[in-house]
Amino acid sequence: MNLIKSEFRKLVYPRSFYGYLAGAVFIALISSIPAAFSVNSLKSRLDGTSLMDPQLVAGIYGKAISGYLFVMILGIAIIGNEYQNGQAISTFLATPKRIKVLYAKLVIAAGAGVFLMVVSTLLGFIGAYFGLHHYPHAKTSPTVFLNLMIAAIVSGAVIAVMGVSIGALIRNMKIAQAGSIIWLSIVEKLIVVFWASGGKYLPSGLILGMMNININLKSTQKLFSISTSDYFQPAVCIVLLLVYAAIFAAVGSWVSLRRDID
Amino acid sequence: MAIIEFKGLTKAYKDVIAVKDLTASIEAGRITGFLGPNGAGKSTALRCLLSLATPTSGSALIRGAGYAELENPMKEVGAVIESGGFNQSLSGLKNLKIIAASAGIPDHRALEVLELVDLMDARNKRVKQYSLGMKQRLSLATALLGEPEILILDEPANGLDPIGIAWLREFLKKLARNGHSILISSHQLAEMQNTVDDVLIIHKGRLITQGTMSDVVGTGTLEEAFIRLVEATS
Repeated sequence: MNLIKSEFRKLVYPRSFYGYLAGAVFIALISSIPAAFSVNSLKSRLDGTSLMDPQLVAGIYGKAISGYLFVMILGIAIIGNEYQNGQAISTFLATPKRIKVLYAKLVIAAGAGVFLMVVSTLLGFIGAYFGLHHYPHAKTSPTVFLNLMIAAIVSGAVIAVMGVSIGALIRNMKIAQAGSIIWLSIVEKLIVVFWASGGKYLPSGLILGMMNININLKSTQKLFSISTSDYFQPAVCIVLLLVYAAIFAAVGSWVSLRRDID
Repeated sequence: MAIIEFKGLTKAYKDVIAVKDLTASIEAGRITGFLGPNGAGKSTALRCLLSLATPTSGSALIRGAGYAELENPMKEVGAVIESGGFNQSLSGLKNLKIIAASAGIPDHRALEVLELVDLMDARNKRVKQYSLGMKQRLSLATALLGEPEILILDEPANGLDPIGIAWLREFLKKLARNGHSILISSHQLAEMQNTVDDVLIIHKGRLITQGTMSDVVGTGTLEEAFIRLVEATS
């Protein structure tokens, strides 16, 4: 518990944590609210699909989960700051059994990731709700909210753990964060959109799969939608994401235990 | 009684041997100077002693055990390795509270050690606003958090002005009078001559000599003895 308390303080004392939270909320809001307006205005081009379609409405609510990018950045910072500031020395002097430190970091990162995702997804969902409330016909199933929150919780914990592990592997925090942003926001998105059979195995594809939203649009319109018809079932997605977390945590631990502290 | 022992310690980084077969012991209740030119291997040996680096061979022990095996390391050993080991955007007090929490040390101890090192007035200032001397004192405060009997200090006087050095000298002497065992690495020889009881000199990763200050120095100064010994082994 001592280490958890110490790691919790490392998380909440610096202002940057609140910056990551604000970033996650911001990206959730700018993903969900404009989607509500733009999809409705595009309905004439959506091959007959409109906000009458509950799945399309669900897709708009699904945009609220976009904050996981900041969870990854936070996860990397949780361990990257140790090396960047030279804090690793005082940390490992206080607790030379490094595996304990890493476990505490993983626990705190997972908790912080869940917190960021629940708050940002909830606010993104509310934003989408207000964006859609002008359209009385925009109805969807109540399970969308439930699926979305489950996806937020699981993805928050898993992405944060992956972030910590990436931070342990790549000592230069800025390179690790920039690389992760490019991977998650560009490379994975492109793979998920244009190569679903491969994309469904990636974290972004698994997060989409957890939302269990099925929309069938023409390929030219896919950029406006979230469709999980090609993806795994939510339970499979959760298991695979947890496998990702376990693999990343194991690799991160292995590297941290063997590294000399400069 | 030896409180710290290096037993055939060797540490190599790829092709570079930083410490070579170092065998030496540090006695309890004394201030021991760990001396050597820049790059002699002092910091590497201390990092191995504190489990921050893994020895290639041999061992470095505190009370017969590796640092990582100590029950509660911060309460047995206080260490200053460098002055940069803090989150610069946080205050000195918050940095100390983070470290204290990890060892189960109550928060009020952070205030006590800040008082000890004369940083009480600056406790809520961000560390990035501290001078180098203040950072060194904050490092000392960290080392004292757990009220340890043993102190291991790596170049604690680096970058200090004369007033800071005088403060550090008196501070260490006070700690030694209170029964602390102190191992202090430095290349500031004149200062060490005024501070330490015993001397351990290494050069190019190897032990050159070890003994009391009077044994090593003889009738001259520490600097003269140091240069003579280093040149003899170059």
